[in-house]
Amino acid sequence: MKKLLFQLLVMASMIIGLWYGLNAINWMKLFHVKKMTSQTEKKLGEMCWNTFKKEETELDNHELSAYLDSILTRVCDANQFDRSTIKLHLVSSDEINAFALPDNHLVVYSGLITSADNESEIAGVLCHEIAHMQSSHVMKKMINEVGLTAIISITSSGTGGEIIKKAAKTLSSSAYSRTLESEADIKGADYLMKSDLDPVAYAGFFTKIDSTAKMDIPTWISSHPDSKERAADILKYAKKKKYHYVPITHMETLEAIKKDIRD
Amino acid sequence: MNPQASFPYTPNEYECEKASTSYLMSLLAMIAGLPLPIINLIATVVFFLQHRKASYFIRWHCIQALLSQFSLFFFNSVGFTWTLSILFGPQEISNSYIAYEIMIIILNISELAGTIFSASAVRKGKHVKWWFYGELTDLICKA
Repeated sequence: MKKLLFQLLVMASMIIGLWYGLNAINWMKLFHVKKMTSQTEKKLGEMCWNTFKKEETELDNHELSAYLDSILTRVCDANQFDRSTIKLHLVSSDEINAFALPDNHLVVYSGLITSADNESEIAGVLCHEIAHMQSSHVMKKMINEVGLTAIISITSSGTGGEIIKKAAKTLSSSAYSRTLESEADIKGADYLMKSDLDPVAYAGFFTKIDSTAKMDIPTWISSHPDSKERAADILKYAKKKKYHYVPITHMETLEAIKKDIRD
Repeated sequence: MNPQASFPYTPNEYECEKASTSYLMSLLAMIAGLPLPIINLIATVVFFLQHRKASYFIRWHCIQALLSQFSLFFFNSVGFTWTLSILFGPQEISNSYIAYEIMIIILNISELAGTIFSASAVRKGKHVKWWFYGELTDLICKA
């Protein structure tokens, strides 16, 4: 028995030693993991957006771009994100939608802007999508939907249009897993509060457009189910935190942009 | 690993062949079950159950193969679960993850080499006792 325990101890020590030894090596640097991941993501992001662009009408509205940029800049500065890494794209559509594509491509539909009552609602949706980007949810969903082998094959060969089309469609119209959505909800609320924006308006937006979804109009909510429960979770979380609201722009600015889009 | 270990009796040709197969079984299952670590454990368990009433020599080597597979199963399962949580869950690829995956590759290769060596030696009638697993098998398997 003593021999057995001694041998177990030696074997366990060897395995622990091996683990510590291997852990001391910087494998991430050695295998260029970050560089490889970012190159794949960059290529995939470009392919997804190019595919998407062919199907939708891009919106060229400088006022709206500047408006969204001011929100993004506030959020990025407050949360120490590099604003220049987020590629904002505007799409002309009545659909109330916004979504993230690989490599921080953020697509915002004009329908989302026209349905919002204040900047915190828009900022809330943007923060939610930024949370998906920051937590690498977009790539995880791509792997889930398309498969890792297909992604490597597509990015290395530059082909696979149909698969990319399907992946871009999925990213724009379906939800992430419940766990990832909840994570993005809370992180989004955190980003808002750090940016001196109102998380209550963000939670309210969930319940507000939930009724629009019931009228069979495609909305951001239809790809983000369980809205009431999630709004309640955000409110519960925000209640525990201290924040104060500092407006970015005047209410009239948003109203003027909404009028401009409708016209 | 001790290939010169003594056994209470000299096994016959049939016993050597069956005992050697228990290692080959775990080897084949290890190759087939690489993506899903449970497969090699199941294959070794099934082989052991088929031979649980066989002679002492066969049973002893079946148990040694099974025990070594069981520890490997634990390490491989952790690696498998970690990979799944990176691909589909909230985890991110990290230095610790790569280090762990390299560690289980080393453990699997060591196991593979030990299994091939044991299968060959046992086929020749030698009694191979692995470090720790041999002692544990002695404790579990009685004549």
